[in-house]
Formats: sequence, structure tokens, C-alpha cells
Amino acid sequence: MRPEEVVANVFSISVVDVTDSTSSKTISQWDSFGHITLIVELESAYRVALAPQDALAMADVASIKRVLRSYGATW
Amino acid sequence: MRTRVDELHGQITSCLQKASSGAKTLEESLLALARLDAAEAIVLLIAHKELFFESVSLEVLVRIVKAVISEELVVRPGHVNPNLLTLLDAFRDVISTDLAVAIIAAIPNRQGNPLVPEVLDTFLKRDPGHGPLLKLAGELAISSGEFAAAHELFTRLTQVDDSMATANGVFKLRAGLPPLEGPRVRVAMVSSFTVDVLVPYADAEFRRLGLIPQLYVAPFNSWVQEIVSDHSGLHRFDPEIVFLAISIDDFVPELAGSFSSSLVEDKGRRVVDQIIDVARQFRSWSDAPLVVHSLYSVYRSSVGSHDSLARWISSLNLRLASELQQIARVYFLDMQELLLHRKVGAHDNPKLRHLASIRLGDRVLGEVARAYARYVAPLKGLRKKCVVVDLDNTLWGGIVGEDGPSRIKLGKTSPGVEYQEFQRYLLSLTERGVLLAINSKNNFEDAMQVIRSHEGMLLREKDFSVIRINWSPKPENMISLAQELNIGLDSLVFVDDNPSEREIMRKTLPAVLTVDLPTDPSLYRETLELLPQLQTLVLTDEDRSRVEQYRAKQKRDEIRASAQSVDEYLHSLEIAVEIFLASDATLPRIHQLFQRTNQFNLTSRRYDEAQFVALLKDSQVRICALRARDRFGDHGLVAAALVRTGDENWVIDSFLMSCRVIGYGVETALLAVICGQAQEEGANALMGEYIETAKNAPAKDFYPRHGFTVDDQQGDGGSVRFRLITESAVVAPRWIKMEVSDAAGRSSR
Repeated sequence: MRPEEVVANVFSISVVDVTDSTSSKTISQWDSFGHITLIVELESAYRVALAPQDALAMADVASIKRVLRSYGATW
Repeated sequence: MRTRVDELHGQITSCLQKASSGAKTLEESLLALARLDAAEAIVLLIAHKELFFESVSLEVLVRIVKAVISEELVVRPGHVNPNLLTLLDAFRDVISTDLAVAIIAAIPNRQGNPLVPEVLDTFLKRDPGHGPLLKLAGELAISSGEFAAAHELFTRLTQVDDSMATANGVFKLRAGLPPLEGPRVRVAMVSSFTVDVLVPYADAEFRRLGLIPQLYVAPFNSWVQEIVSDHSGLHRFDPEIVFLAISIDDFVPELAGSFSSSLVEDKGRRVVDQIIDVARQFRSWSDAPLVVHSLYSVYRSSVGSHDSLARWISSLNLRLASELQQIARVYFLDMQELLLHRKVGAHDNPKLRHLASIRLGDRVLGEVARAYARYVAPLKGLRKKCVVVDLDNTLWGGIVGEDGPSRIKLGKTSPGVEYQEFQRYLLSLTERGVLLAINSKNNFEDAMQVIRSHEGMLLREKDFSVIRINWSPKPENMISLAQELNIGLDSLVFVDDNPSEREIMRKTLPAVLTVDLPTDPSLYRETLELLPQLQTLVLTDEDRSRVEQYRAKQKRDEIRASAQSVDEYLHSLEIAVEIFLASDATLPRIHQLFQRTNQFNLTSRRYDEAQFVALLKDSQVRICALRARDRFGDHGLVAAALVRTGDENWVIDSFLMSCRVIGYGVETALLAVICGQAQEEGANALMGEYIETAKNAPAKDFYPRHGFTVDDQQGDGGSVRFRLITESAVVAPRWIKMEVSDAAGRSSR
């Protein structure tokens, strides 16, 4: 699964609408609770354990990809 | 480029026409064409569908179609060729559900396209448990305004997908829909940690029961104030049931260090005292059930230490459970047991715990919510009365008509022991007031031989209240079986291993709860064990003896057939009734009767438990109840009436009787006593009321046949009011022996 697909699934939006600049500012469902859900789903999809500072730093899709890559995740 | 397309086109059609000649070439040319011009490849596939099916192996066809589709989806995401949908429809047998979902999701203007619902339907039938498909179908149902269908699809989705993304996504989508009609339930969630992530799961499980939940989540870390204070949000919310989720780790943070019981003993004792105190405080202002999570910790003891954290917590729980048991309607939800039985995932997710202060792992949220549903179902009167089972491959392995009684699988070893385990559970249900019945397509004699004499059978003929073993359609048997038991179809659970029988039952009789039995018989037992609709919060004496009562009814019916006249028959039954005022002890059963009685119920007013307790305390309200027995056994508490005595005219607000005793005249006995009391205490008149429902026709002429006249003052909304001047007495039937007492047990008459 691509990170875009995880994001689309968590926030119930179409995957074609997810770009690198998609962020908590562009999606209303991306609140603190949505963010927790996103982290849980990303950790489970890529089998990684994110450090809290990394988990909190993932404010848009580009940064999600950057952080995941730094943990060796591929898609 | 155009020439290359034409060239490939020619190659493909000639390959197809010559058949057999090189599937390899066909595949390569088509893929090359797809890369150059996917639209052209799609058109070609659709146009020559039959030829493709004939000339290429299924395996290759799957690959070709998939490649062409993927090419189109990748090249033009967001505005794909609408022909792709036609392709999907034509080649649906070789297209995976995943791919179908991707296609439908990518089709522009899919809302208006008439082919979309058709294709969706085909795939939903083929793959009913496919999460992404259910989600897509649900979203499309919303956009076409079919909200009830959307809710149903979402319910199915949350059943197959336990992830937080799905639970949360469905919860948010539902919140945007117009409110549904249906029975509501007010549930409060109070906790020592954040339960926000649990809310979507709880919402989904309550909806699965057919209820519309209104959820109250107490503010973070406010559980004591919320429950104790009468100005709290919880108090204003007026919950029907409260779940209190607590964690010892919140109260004793020292547990994160090395555990030593002597260091934390004092704290532990205070925690338990506080919980008990809070539960008592709650009981002082609410009669709603309170379900308290047992204590557990995410931490563990060190190796080599004799001091065990788990043992210490167990000792706290032991005291907590025994003290909570003393408080009415307070329940202890054993978290150790719940976590022990979870199917997947860790009970703790440290990330979630630290970021969101939730003490439950994401994979157990569904388990906890399902446990909640098992309390809510009986509270809302959703408990079923009878479990109707199939025989072959349900009560035993194999088919008795084909394998013969000696070859079926049923015994102490596997395969066979699974069925015994299931039978043992079904037998235990009869001790908890649930009836059993058989609905099976078989030769009667073959099947009865197994039931009567197979040594592996734990259930015998006597354990089934009704037996239908024949070749009739099962829905037909279901209807006749419900009639014989005198219960509604909505009181039945249907258990059958055969998916097509289940499908027919669901389609023809949706009121019956048809259980999705897993294919593995090892899982039969727990499937029923976890069914919320078979749970009970209070086990009344009537529950325990219900099976006996139905057996006695069968004997009575035999006498009836042989008696000369109805009068003679009724006399021969030696009916005796006891009429008394409701008390704390009899209230649970009376309330149950109010909730469950549908047929002989004059007004069908359902009071929740809290209202009921308040009515009992009200000095202007009298709740009378009647217990009946005859020479074959005790019927138990079977009739009740709620009378408002505050005015010069007494008003019978509710009058109801279990259908088990219809035809014996005990309702007349109860009415006679009420009438006598009204006379003695100087009431002017006695007022009755009949509110028609779909089911209560048997009660329609109750007041007229006891001398009541239709009152000039009529109620609204289909209610008919009756009046009886108290001088004209109602007389109890001659064949009934009466005993009247007040709540304290003093007898008169």
C-alpha cells in the first residue's frame, strides 16, 4: 500500500485527491484524533515503530514519506 | 503510431479467429496495444469477449484483463475511460474484487451511472466480506440518497474490518447522515483514561444491534466528579447504561517501576474503596446499570521476584467484584478474561497510550465494544427466546441420510467433539430460559434415531420444545414452529451451517435472527456464546424454569384434546393464582414482562428500568402482579397491571399477561382484584385503555367483555378508552383458586 492510500483510507477521501502537499490544513478530518489513527495505521502497514517526535512531525504527505523512508520502509 | 496500433489490432483479431494459434502472441500484442492506446485495447476486449474466453486459458485471460485495466488506471488516474466499467461488467468472472473496487472508484461521474449499482451488486454477492468494496458501496449509497442502505453496508464493513481507520471513518460518515428512525439507546462512557478512540467502535456495535446510539463521553479524567456530582454532564444526559473504564496504572503510576506490593498496598486499597464508593453514589441518583471494567495493568513483574503484580491486581479485583455485587445493577466486566480471549493484537499499544492516553491497544477496541454490546442488548429487550437449529453438519458432522447414523461425526474425539462442545452449550441455554427447537430437512425417522439413541448426543428429544424434521421449506417450518410456541418470529434465532438456507431465511423472514455460522465447527460454540441477543443481565426464576413450563404446556394440550367441554377442562387444570403488589424482589421479573409482552398487552407502554423503580416508589401508583400454577407446574409471574390511583377515577395505565396463560381466565382474576380494590377505596370509576399495535389483537376485546363501556373522552393516536362504574363488579372465574396478598405477604381472602 502506498502512503497516499493509507491517508485516503484513514480520512475517507479519494486516493486521487492525495498529493504530497495534502496536510492537516487541507483535510478537515485530519484533527488530533485523526492523526493518532493515521499513525496507528502507518505503523501497522509498514511494520515500523515511530519515535514520538517523528510521529508528530508528519504534518503532510511529503513528510510522511520522508519519515517512513528514514525507517527503511518501501512501497 | 497509428499504423502500429492498426498492425497490433490486425494481429490480435487474426489470432482470435484462428483460435489456438499462440496465446502467447495474443497476450503480447494486446499488452503492447494497451501500452500504446489503452482505450483501443478495452474496446477490442469488449467487442471480442466470447472469442477471448474461447481462445485463451482462464489464467492468461485474468492476466491480460488485469494488465489492460492497470495500464488505463495508471495512465489516467482521475479521468479514466468510462468503457472500463463495461469491460468490468463483461469480464467480471476474471477480475478480482480489489481491481473492481479500483475501477469503480476511478470512474468519473459514477453516481449517475446505472451500470455501477449493478456491477457493485454482483461483486457484493461474490465477495460479501470485502472491506474496500463495502466502503465504496456505502459511499455510493450516500451519494444517491439511500441512507438506510448505506448504514447497513457500513455495519457490514465494521464487522469485517476492525481497524481504527475504518471504525473512525464510518463513524464520521454516519455523523453526516440525516437521523434514522428506530429504537434509541443512551449510553455513557466514563473513564480514568481517554476513551475517544473506543467511541466509534461502540457506536458500530450498538448499531449492529439495530439501535441508534446516543453516546455521552465524559471529559478527560473526570470520572469521579461526573458520577458523584448531580450537576455533571452525565447527570444531565440521564444515561440508560454507563460503562466505567478504569486502569490501575492511572491511579498507581509507581507500577511502571519495579513492582513491590508493600510499596503500593495502601494505594491499591484506596483505589478499590473509591470505585466502590463511586458506584454507590451513582446508585443514589440513577437506576441505570453500571458496568465497571476490572483493574489491569500493562506492566509486568520482574523475573525472580516472588511478588507478582498480576496476583496483587487479582486480589484487588476479587474484593472489587464481591463488593460491587452487593450494589443493585452494578456489573463487573472482567478485563483479564476479555483480553485473554482476544483473537488478534497486543492488549497494549505504547504509542497510543502515550500520545492519546488510552489504556487499550487499538486491536482490542473492537473486543471491548462487543463486550459492551452484550450488556446493551438485554437491557433493550433484544434477547431472543428460542434457538432453532439445523441437524446435519450443525449438531453433528456429516449427513445422517447419506452416511447413516453410525457414520456421522459425533463423539469424544475430533471430528465430532466440536459438535459435542456446541451441544453442551445449547443445553446450558435451556437452563437460562432459552428454548431449543429443530428445523431440519431430513427423513424424520433417520434423524430421530440419532437424537434418541446415538451415544454421542448430549441433546435429546426432551430438550427440544418443537421438532420440525421434514422436507418443507425452512421458512415455512419456522412460521409453524413460532405459532406452536406462541412467540413472535422476532424471538427466534436460526442456526444452520448451510449458507443458502441462511440466505433464504434472511430474505423470507428478516425478523428471524439468522446467525452466520463459521465453516469450522470448532467455532460454533463461541459464535453463539458471543451473541449479544442471547445474553441476560438478570436471571429470573422464570428464565430458569421456562423450558419446564413449555413441557407442561404440551401435557395440558393433550388433556384439552380429551376433555368434554372447555369448562371441564379448565376445572381439571386446578388453576391457582396469587395476586400481590410489586416489591423490590419481584420488580426485575415484572419489568421483564413489561418489556417482552407483545400480544396480550393493552397499551404496550415500555418503561425503562429507572422509570419503573420511580413508579414503584410513587404512592399514587399501584403495580399489581399475578403468579399462576396448575396441576402440571408453576407458570411463575405471568401477569401485571399498573394502576394510577391518584384521581377519583382509577386509571389502568398498563395491563399485560404472558401469552403462555392465554385462555385460562387469569386476566379476569387480576382485573377482579383491581376492581374490588377500587370499590373498597371509594373510586368513582375504573378507566381502561387499548392501544392497537401490530401484535396485540388478542387483548382487543378485554375491557368490553368485562362490562366496560367505551368512554366519551377518547385518547389520541388510535387509543380507545373504556370506563367501568365501580358498582358493577368484575367476577373472577369459578375454576380459579385465588389468593390475594400485599407486598408484605399478608393474605386476605
